[in-house]
Amino acid sequence: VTSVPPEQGKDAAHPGRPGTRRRSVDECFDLGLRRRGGPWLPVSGPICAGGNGLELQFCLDVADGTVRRVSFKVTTCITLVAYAEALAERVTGISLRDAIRVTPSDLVKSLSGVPSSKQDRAVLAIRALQGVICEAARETPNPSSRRTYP
Amino acid sequence: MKVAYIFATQKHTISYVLAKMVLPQLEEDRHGADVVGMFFFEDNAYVLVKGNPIGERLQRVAQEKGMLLMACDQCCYEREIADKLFEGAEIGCFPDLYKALSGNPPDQVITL
Repeated sequence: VTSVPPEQGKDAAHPGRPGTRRRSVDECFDLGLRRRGGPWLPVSGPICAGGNGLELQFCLDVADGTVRRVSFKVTTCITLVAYAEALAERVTGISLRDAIRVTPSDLVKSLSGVPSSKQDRAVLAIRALQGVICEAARETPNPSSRRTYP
Repeated sequence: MKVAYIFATQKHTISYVLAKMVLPQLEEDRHGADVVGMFFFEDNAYVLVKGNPIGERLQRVAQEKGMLLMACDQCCYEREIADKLFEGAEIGCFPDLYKALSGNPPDQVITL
């Protein structure tokens, strides 16, 4: 296995992992529009609203504290759709605990070419993700925290 | 009269209509209308990239006259120039355009 240095656009913590590679907005926008049209998943987050009428709502399929699938409803701002898609790819397959650690800065770094005037969409996307993760955590408590009684 | 131009066609729209007609008239203060904004679709957005000689003239005029310069965000992302525009030029879509023009709305919107 050849490791890919971070400067070539891969996340050093997850080399080769889909969603951690630095992507173009255009690429993520197309994928995001397809994901947006997909089936709605069991755990719904809140509808998060930003300026200019922008809205984003995630839904998750979670099993054993791990995000199995992600979908979302989003207004068709190209930057917001791309951030939502990048985030969906990034958190699929990881634990809720790791997913909630993703920051707006991480998300901004994952997409190339977004001017600073549009990077506020990353904050909205993270807020929407945190909302659905909180909901998922309420609905699916961490198995390790369960207590058993004789 | 206040106007806004939308550059939507790609023949000689920038190199001829903008660079040899509209822009010189604006530079000489004899255009005949107050241009409150310009919006650029598709390859026309390249005029707003840093270093474009027509864009540099446009930037000077826009700064003097308080004119909005905006390019279609999807067109810019597709061409990988969204973060390469000169200062004062923005990317956006119709909601951004209408919001930006709402403080100084044009009487006419002219598509070129």
